[in-house]
Amino acid sequence: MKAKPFLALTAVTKSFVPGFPVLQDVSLGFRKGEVHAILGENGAGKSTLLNILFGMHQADAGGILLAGREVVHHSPADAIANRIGMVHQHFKLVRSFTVAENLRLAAPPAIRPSLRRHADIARLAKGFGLDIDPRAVVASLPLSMQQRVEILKALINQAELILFDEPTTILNPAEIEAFYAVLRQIAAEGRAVVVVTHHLNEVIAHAQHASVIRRGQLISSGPVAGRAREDFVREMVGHEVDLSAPLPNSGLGRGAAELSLRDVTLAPTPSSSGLKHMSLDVHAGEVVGIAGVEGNGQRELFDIVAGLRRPDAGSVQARRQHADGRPVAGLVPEDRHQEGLVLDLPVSVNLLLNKIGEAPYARGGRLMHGKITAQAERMRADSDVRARSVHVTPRILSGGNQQKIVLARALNEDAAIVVVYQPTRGLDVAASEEVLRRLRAAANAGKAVLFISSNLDEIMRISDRIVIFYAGQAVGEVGRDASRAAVGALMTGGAHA
Amino acid sequence: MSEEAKPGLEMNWRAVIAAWLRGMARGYAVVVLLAFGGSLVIGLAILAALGVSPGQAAQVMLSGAFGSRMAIGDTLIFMTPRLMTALAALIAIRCGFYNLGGEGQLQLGAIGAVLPATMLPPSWGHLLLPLSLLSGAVFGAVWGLIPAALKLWRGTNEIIVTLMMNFIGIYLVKYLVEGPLQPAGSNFNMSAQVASGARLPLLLAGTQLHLGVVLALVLAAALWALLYHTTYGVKLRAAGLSPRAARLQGMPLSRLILSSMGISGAIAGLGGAIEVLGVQYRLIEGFSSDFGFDGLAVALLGGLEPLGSVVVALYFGAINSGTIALQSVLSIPAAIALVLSGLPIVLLAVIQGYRFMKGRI
Ligand SMILES: Nc1ncnc2c1ncn2[C@@H]1O[C@H](COP(=O)(O)OP(=O)(O)OP(=O)(O)O)[C@@H](O)[C@H]1O
Ligand SMILES: [Mg+2]
Repeated sequence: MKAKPFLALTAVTKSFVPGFPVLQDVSLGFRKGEVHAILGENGAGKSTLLNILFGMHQADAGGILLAGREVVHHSPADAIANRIGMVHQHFKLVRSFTVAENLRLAAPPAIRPSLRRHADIARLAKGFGLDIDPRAVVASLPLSMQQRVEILKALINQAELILFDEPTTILNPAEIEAFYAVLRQIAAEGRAVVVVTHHLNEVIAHAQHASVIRRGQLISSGPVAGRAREDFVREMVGHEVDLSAPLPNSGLGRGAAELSLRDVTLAPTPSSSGLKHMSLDVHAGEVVGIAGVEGNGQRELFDIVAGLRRPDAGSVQARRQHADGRPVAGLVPEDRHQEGLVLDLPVSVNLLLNKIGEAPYARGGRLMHGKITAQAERMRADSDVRARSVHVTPRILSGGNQQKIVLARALNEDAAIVVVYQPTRGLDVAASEEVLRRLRAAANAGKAVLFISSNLDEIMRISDRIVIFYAGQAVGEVGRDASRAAVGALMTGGAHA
Repeated sequence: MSEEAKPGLEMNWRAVIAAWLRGMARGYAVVVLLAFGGSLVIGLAILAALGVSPGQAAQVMLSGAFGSRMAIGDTLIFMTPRLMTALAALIAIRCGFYNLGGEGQLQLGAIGAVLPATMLPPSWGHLLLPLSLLSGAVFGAVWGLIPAALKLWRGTNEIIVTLMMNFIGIYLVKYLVEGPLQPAGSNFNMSAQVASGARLPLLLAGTQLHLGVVLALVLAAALWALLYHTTYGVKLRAAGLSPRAARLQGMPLSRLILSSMGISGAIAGLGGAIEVLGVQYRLIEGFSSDFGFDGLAVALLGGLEPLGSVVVALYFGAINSGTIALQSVLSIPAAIALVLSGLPIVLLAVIQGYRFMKGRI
């Protein structure tokens, strides 16, 4: 007989807008000692579920049972008092404070004295397997370390249930392994852990229990053992999705070079590898994948092609350029909240942000609201953006649906070049497949696609050529049929081509 | 500041009311009403503590603000400069540029207006009015462009520069009226009277109400149309809300900041010109009772919306005329006006802070 759940949701229903339920009649239990994964498409209601548990939203019906007792969470303070912690997708840290200051700020008064000395904090953190420098200012830390501060905050508050919303989207493969090692320890010490993720491999490798939500309804909840990726996908999406369908190129070969970088050089800084004599061509009809461990020049490449930075030396040429010399290109930046979207302008404006001053969306400087709305509606339908209307702001959309807006805009651009940086980050499996399919189709229709990603599997599936970055340099180039091992070796600077 | 795309270009009552209702739905309008209601209650409680019957005080204030043709005229006269500086503040802030320099731009606008209005031959007649208004706007715009240019090319902090330039503006006026612009033989710190052709026409018989109020209201409507119905406005809002996203889509951030600060300074300058040409008929030291700073408060309380600012500026105008009546009828110091116009801001900050802590916003 399995242990009773530590915490249970009973028939929870929630809608933000009357008539559009986000969660319907969801009942779920979380046991101590288990890592419990929550799966579902973008917009299925996963974050909303976590937010209700944490007291950020209130359920319309149904409730929360804590060790069999009915509790109500009006605010996160109530949830914390009931020993629930949450690590949000976007961290809630004071960026200008040190790690120690952030922890003291979050700690209950009774515990604060024990956090007075840096050495004590370091020891405490180490005990949880979370090595961190208590003196470091949060803003100067990589995201993986900021995440540790969030986890420590929950642990210091003596959380017995910790909720994680897409914790691994911001981590590289090595950090993901370290993260799950921490989770295993936290759970083994007798806590309940809930993780929302889109990465089924992680679920199969690290979770004991998985629940699937589809459009607000609980589809299944049970042990992970013995289940396969395909089972989960079918339950999430409602039909079969082939996750390894080939993404064939047109077979017509590539056309003229649309984008050419020659000897592009950017000086390195403490936080960046810079670029060293980077030369790269992207031709019409091909997808060029950029592989490499994060931080080896990918960000710099994107910034240069997007025109955000100018190279110290070398040239960037595109067949079509804006008046200021920037290549005309559809862009999917890495940070969708800061660079991809204006979160507080309507979805319609965001979809057409790159064309908002042009006919037919403007005439004589006047906005043509009707034309904007009509075109935005078309793009929304094409890209399956799940929003109530194009007049809402992206702020209230789920992360995956926000990303679909950015992608729809990049592909709508009549530019011959498309530059994408981590385009499937935060997308569910089906949506990721759809993105890859659309990018491949765009290339096959004659666009030049530059595909920068830390997801090697995707790069290998979609690219015609793969260029490997290491320390700001292109250290090798392989074709479609290269082996993973060969690419992996180049990525770590192991073998120079 | 989230918002829905506006339907048509025509500014009809339905669109205006719909915009307000949307604001209500977001809870902001309710919060603002609470803040104003609360301030009046607290203000009357203070008066009660001073031994004045609150009912009587409320009645005196109400009639002082709206009770007669004269009262309404005064309220609108007091509203006008604050509305102008509020519009100036909001157009810059919506572009992400924290222009705290409305006071200085207003002072420069007054100088810009008084120069042609007192120096050009009076025989130019009614040509002097548009010339002086234009000159005031240009002076204000230049004063606004300086901090924008300093930020873009030298990386200075606009909050400090705009704030400090206020004092340069104020002392420049002082210098001018004590020296170069003081008529020979006069001992008063003021310029000569402006030519009659340069004065703003009066609107309402028996009051001092001048055409400036109409200018301000037209400007408010124009800014609303600019923000929501032009490509310039949508780019300006995008740049203000998310400069990095706007830049990635090729929006010219520098040009947007420069132009919005030009517009901002021009509006504040026009506000100063209107005070000179419609109220004082001279440049006088201290002619502005902190209109520039009041304008910031009006803009923020009005949700950085032109139409919201009209309503809040009207409240400020009414407080001004109402408390003058309190002073003359009940001998209560008009300084109570400072309490009544300061309290809404304090209450707003408290209510919004509470909502923020409760996770409601
Ligand atoms: N504050 C809100 N107001 C209105 N609708 C909202 C709000 N928050 C979320 N929603 C809607 O609720 C639905 C579920 O959103 P939620 O963020 O829970 O999805 P999710 O499963 O976490 O998706 P993702 O994987 O993309 O993060 C979405 O359709 C979203 O637009
Ligand atoms: Mg989510």
